[in-house]
Amino acid sequence: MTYKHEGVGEAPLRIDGDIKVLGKAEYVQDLEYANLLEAAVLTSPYASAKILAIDVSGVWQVEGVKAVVTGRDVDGLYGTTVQDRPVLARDRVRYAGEPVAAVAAINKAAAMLALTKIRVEYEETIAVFDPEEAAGMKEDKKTVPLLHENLMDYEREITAMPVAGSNICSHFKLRKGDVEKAFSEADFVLEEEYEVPRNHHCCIEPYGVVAQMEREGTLHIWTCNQSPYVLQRNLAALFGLSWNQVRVTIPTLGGGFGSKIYPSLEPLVVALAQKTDHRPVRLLLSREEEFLRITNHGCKIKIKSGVKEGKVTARQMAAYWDTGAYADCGPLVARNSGFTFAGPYKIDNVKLDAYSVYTNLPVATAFRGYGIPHVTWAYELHTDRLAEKAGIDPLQFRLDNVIQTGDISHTGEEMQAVGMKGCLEAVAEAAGWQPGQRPAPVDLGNGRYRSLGVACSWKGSMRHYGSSATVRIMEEGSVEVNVSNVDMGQGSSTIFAQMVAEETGIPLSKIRVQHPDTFITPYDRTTSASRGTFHAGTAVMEAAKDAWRQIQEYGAQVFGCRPEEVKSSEGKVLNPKTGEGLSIGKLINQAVMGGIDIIGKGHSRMKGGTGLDKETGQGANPTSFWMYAADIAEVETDTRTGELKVLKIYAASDVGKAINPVNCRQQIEGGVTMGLGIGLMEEMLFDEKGRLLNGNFHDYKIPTAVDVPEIIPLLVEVPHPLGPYGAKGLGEAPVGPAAPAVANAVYQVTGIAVRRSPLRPENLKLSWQKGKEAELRD
Amino acid sequence: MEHKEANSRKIKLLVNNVAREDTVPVDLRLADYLRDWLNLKSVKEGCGVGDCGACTVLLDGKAVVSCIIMAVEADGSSIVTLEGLAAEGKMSDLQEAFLAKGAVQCGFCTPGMIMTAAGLLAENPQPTAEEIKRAVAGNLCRCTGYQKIIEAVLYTAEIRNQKD
Ligand code: FES
Ligand code: FES
Repeated sequence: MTYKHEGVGEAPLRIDGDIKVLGKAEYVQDLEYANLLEAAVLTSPYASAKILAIDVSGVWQVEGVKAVVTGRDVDGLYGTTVQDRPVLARDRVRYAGEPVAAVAAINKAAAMLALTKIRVEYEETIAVFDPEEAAGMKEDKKTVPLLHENLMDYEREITAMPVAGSNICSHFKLRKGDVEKAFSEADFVLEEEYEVPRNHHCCIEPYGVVAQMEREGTLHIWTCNQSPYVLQRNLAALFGLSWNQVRVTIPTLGGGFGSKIYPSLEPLVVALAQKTDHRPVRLLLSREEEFLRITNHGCKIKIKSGVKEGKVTARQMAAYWDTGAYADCGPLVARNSGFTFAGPYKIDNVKLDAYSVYTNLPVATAFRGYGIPHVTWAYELHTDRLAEKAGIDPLQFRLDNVIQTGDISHTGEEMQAVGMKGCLEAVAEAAGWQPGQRPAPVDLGNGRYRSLGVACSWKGSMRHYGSSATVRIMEEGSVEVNVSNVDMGQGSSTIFAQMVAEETGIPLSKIRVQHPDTFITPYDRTTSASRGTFHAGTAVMEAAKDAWRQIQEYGAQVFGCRPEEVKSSEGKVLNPKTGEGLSIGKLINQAVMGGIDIIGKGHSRMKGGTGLDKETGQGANPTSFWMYAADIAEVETDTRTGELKVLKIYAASDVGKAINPVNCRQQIEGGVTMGLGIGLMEEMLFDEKGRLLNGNFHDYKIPTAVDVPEIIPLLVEVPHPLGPYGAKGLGEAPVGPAAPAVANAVYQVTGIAVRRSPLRPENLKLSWQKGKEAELRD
Repeated sequence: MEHKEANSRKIKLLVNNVAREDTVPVDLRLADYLRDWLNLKSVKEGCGVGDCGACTVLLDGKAVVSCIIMAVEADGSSIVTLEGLAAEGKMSDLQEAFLAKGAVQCGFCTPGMIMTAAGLLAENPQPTAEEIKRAVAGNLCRCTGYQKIIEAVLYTAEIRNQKD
């Protein structure tokens, strides 16, 4: 085999690509077990109700039933930021779809039949669905039912800042400068409201879990989860086990996008497994159930800005995040989108309030971008209105206002390696939009126009959390990389392998990256916040360097030279004196008579991270790195029907350093498509009782091949001083600007501002009508 | 395999060119027959109601969703799954193109997507990008944005046509 260097900056084929195109990749639904039991879950039909009685005795009439659980069988509460969630509902239900009882049986049909034998007596109570109303902030509706009367008694993380006696599970504040003064001195002030409804991740793989209490006392769980160690620790706490007794194994994931980040139904399956004789219990959700398991947040945003001499001088915003019946990571979404909330602009006076609010809807969780698509929708549509009022081209207005290296952010951080301007310039050049000279809409006849719109966005990752990795080089020269970052399709395992190839010179074909398994692969906090390449990547790079250093030491010993003189060449270790290459196996053999593996260890440990002040949101280093993205959309609008055709999206992302450029483009193309989906097409619809109306793919439409425009991905590289090889993260940033860029292109033609996403033809026409009415009334 | 229930029927069919004879329950879905009885795990279940295309296989050369077809309905037909595209474990040109063009990310939609593309190319060896888009419009992918999938199919067609 000829040697091929496939290190950093190159674009080798995905290392897991062959098994995937051959149909051999194993997802949870493909795993086989002996004595498997299938689970089925009975859920609440009410959004808010008391449970008066549950009678499960009927399930035993069904042949093959082996276990049944209700909320009374499982103690304890769990949750990511606030421990507010029972494994199954106890005395009350808080959303339609909440698990109330579960059964395990020898097959799915028996389990489903058994559910029909369970009798639950409910007493319906008043529900609340609108987050602003639930927060008690609507003037006309000040008294609202409380979802969690004991909110202040729950265990919680410091990032959750609940408000006593309310449904607000967290209130994030940011205060900088003096907005009132700046508003009074501004040339003009503009105040608007925006809304993004709930939408869904829609991984094509539905959620699945298998749990088994093993005879040796360990709990083994196979699940499609993005954060094996968070799950391990939650399960250990809930079921009274030590961390080293909980084994979380992650097979191939069929997408994640945030929906698989935190524990959701895993505890319920463990509760069932505990009631069996060490049998594996499997829960595979139907698509309908998956829609209710977890969703994206809905959000209402109020935004007010002051502009003076073409510069945004003040911004005040409030966001009401609908986190659903349990907090999950809602407080963190409010916080992490909170400190980026005012947009990638240098603004000296900022006042932000972000409320994470309980409602009687399904639990909302992380979604690719962690709130950024919502806030970008608001501040980027708003930015175009500001530019218009200021009489400045919207691209120029952005270039004049965006944050740059050396500027101080809204939280007081001195920004480094900022690629925001670079992204705007890249899309502008590609689309042929000269700053200051926005192309006029092209009249295509019959009321149709073609126009361009621009939008940009930034995204902080999260505060630094550790990652560890080991790289084991075996004597034959093959390598195993142990890291708990989950490859859910973003291609992280290929990136890690490239890093190892870069550091050791070992060809990619000899490098295998393990599936995460808490009994095997070392700690990593989460696969989220676009942190994989940056953090887990740093750990892998360090581990590979450590392994290579050991090889150099053996080389020095065998060749009689200094360690740093030992180089790799075509997968072999080069004798600097003779220029001859020695295989790693032979080298180890000559040095220590063989029989060992070389194990390199690496950690990503970063210093200097800060929290954010509880009252002011100030903190000099709240995130380990930032990402930047900008899009220009070319759109055809039919002003008679409101129909839109997105023709092209030019999409730039500042990736720091493209470890694998093809992979980067995949992230951009996929991210833009997702952004267009949630911004132009998708919306979860609930009836007046809080019941989901469109929990399936025929009523909830995600983009198909015919819906997607041409996407032109552009890579901007402003290297990060702490990132591996200069890399930043990438996964989330491309989702934000796509739909706002489209909306801004449409606005240029129609002049009618749309506030609520998704921007569907019927919504555009509605706004249009409203706009006309307003005009008539004025 | 025998399944002793009143509501069972014998079916005879070709699966990936191997002749099969099985007595199956009448309510057994083709997807389950392929996955559970024949262990052809490339057939994925993304929705179970015909909306996502993850379970697509070829039935007498045509791409169909196997989750809403009963196994008994496939009696007398020839079924090809993704496993059947790779003769003796060697990737077909279409699979190679998906890999080479970066059309695979999480891979969950991939088997169904490739089968739909295989069905299209059998019927229409020189499809345009528009025709490919329409053909795979029933196969949902949440990762890729489809662009590289379309490229992979176009590329396969081009290579095949060069060979002819
Ligand atoms: S699983 Fe058959 S179409 Fe979705
Ligand atoms: S590659 Fe993930 S759904 Fe298509």
